[in-house]
Amino acid sequence: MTVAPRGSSVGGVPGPVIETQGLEKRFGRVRALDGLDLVVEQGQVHGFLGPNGAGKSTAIRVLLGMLRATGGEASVFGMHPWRDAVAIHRRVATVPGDVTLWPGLTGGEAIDTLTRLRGHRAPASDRARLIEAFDLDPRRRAKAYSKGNRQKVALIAAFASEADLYILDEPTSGLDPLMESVFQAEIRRVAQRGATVLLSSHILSEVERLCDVVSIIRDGRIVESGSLDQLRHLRHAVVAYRGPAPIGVPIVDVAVDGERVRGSVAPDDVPAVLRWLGEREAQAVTLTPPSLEELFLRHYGDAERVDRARSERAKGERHGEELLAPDVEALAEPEELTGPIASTGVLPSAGPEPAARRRGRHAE
Amino acid sequence: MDGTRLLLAAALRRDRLSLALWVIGVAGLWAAVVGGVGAAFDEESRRGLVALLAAQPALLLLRGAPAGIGLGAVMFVSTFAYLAVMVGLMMTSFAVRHSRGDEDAGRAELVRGTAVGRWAPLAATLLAGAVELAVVCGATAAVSIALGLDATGSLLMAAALAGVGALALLVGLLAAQALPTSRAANGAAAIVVGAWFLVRGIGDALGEPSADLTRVEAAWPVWLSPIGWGAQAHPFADPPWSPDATPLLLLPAAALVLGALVVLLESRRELGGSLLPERGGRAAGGAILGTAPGGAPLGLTARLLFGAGLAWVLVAAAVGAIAGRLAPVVASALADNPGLSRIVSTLGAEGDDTEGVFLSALAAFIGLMASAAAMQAALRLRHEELAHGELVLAAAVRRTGWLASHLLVGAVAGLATLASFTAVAGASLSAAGDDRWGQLVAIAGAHVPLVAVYLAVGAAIVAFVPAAVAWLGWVLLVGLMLAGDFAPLFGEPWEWIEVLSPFHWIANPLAAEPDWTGSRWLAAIAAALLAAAALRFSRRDAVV
Repeated sequence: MTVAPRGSSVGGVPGPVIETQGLEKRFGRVRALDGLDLVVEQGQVHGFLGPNGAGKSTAIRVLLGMLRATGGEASVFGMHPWRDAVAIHRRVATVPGDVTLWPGLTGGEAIDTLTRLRGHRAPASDRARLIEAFDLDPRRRAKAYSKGNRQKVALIAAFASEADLYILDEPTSGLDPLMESVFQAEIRRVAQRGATVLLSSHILSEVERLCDVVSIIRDGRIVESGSLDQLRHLRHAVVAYRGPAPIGVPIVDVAVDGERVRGSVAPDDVPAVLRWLGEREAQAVTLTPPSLEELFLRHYGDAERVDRARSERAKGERHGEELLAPDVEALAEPEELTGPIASTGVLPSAGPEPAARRRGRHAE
Repeated sequence: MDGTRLLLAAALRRDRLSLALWVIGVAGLWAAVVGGVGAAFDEESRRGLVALLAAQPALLLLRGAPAGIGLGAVMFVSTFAYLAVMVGLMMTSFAVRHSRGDEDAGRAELVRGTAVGRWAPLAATLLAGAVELAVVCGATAAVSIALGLDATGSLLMAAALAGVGALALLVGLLAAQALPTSRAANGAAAIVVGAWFLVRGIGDALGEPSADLTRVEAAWPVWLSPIGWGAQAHPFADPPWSPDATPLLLLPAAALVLGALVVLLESRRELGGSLLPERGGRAAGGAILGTAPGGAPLGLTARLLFGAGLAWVLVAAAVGAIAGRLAPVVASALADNPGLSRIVSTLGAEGDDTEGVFLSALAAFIGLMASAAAMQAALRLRHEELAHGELVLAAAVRRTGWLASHLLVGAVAGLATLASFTAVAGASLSAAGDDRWGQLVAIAGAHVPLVAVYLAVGAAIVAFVPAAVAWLGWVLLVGLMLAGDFAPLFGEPWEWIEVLSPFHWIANPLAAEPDWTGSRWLAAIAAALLAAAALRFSRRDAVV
């Protein structure tokens, strides 16, 4: 393993805060990380997107030196995540995906323990402000906290640390919408201060609102990475209208339901399509830029489409025409899957994550 | 009741492996001792064994009061109290696991949300406990009869074990209802079972030996302990005594009382509720809580382990108080009985100082407890790793520092347990004008290497075989103690088992020339294990 360049990117020396090359982690025969290339630059709020079981948490645990990579390279602040774990952790604040607190400690005690163990505490006024903003009762024992309240404790402990890097693993699971907005405000605050944030999530609206750059992970590999605008530009917009069937116009992936037509348009074809729609006097025209959801579902849905095609080939059916039929298309083409899934803002899961080990469980 | 049958089946299925292990442990110990002693001891040597037992209050306390010199009677007196404690601990841990344990883990909420009745989980736990008790005790009786022991006696003994087990089951349920965490409930219930053993032991130690030293009439304290009731049935008594089932009637009577209490508490209890409510606490952590010198989170670890350590220390202090009060009594009883003192003096130098031997026997208990306290603190690291590793290891905490903080707290807990016994017993004795400080400190000191070994065993389990953290350490602690205690009963072919037990190598400061070689070996083994554990723990993946 080559030695990563020493030095601090925060201290002015340019260089990514997090960099992995071909990172691999195997558990027995399972490849949790399969050549992960992730670069997080100084000052970014970097979205780390993927369905359950894609390898997000494994990647974070390798970056935090809890797991040892079986191949490839990784560096955090230019240091080795396993060997220099403690030095790295002095500059990092984390929120794990599944927060279990010590049942006998109060929330306030847990916050102070964690910030002191990190060794970089924010001023007491920050702690008080955060407890107030997140509406936490710090005197209660952790056993009596609900899932959302346990999450708040970890979030307060993270934001009450003056860290250079915040690594947050699905930090808003269990938070109500009010608290989510507090969370977003805190992210913006630390980002303004110049800190770097790696935000793993499968809540796309949150990532869309907060992140400058997004990396999408699937099966332990980064399948797409870039700024949201960049990614969007590569993708088709969704067009919907009431009117004639789109013949002789570059609308693809068409679904027709009586007069209602839906389809997608390549970025370069948008002017032509709009002209055509105007000439035909189409009604209720909407043109939606591709959402992160669609970017994401494209990668996630690909696997489904391949699987479907394979199984159909096995049955000896001609799958080429099948894919054009609207009902099949609705299942196979991710661009069409915007209805109920888009409204929840949560992706379907690829499989259960390792069973949560939870201790305290009282609802409030 | 709705769902009871399903829950019962689920409970039994969940426990099938541990039930098998308990059957092997309990019935297997009985079979091994019957087989071993049957082969190794003829009537003459049994007579000598029982006379030795009757004459030595320390042995009466550890084993029990003999009721004859027949094979069954000798077996029963040397084994029953241990079997009763095993069955008792099996049932307390069973009860807590299936009540408070399920509630802590959130499973109870999941189950209660389905179409099961309010009483179904409790009913299923009681029934499953009864089934497990029937299996363990039935197997013990069957083994006993198959090995040729008297059938009535075997059934009486099994009934006594079952009765003790049923009471322990109810005590476990009560502890789970009263205390807010399964850890606390388990500890409290285990202390109750330990107290049953100790109270029975006090009654036996104060007992009145017969003139021919073939039996001992136990004193009144045995009637305060369910294990004592079982022992007083004398299932294998030789004439002139005969087996008597009457004392066993106390067991169902007590079970009715405890059972009514369980039902009463449960009828008022909400899911997850406890008699002792959780109090609110401090809004901010004290200055010590976050201390982590050199990346070792000492403040946090000490805070988390304080309660358990304190419990061990307090129990040791209570045993010390008993030792201080009792030692002079048993010694003077012996001095008043010229026949007895003649026998004791023929036992050699070790037997000379009855009081010293008695204190030493109780200190052996404390050594076991101190080892348990130390090992528990080391083993706890695995729980911390699973539950909180992702929070703790992401802070500026060194792995070796984390391990070291647990080892340090464990060492302090173990040494404090030894010290509190020594201090209380010594103070109590010297207040009565009997200065034995030097002897007591030497006896306690002889157990320090043992504590170190089990501290290291705990660390090694966490580092190398974390999956076995729930049972391996305790099997090694109790199993090797039993091996050390019982191997001498099996005769020479089994001496090698005794040699494997670290308990065998504890130095005896009462000897004319104490041999500390074994202690040095134990210390060296502990150091090697600790070094290996630290190396491994800092290199393996943290499972979070």
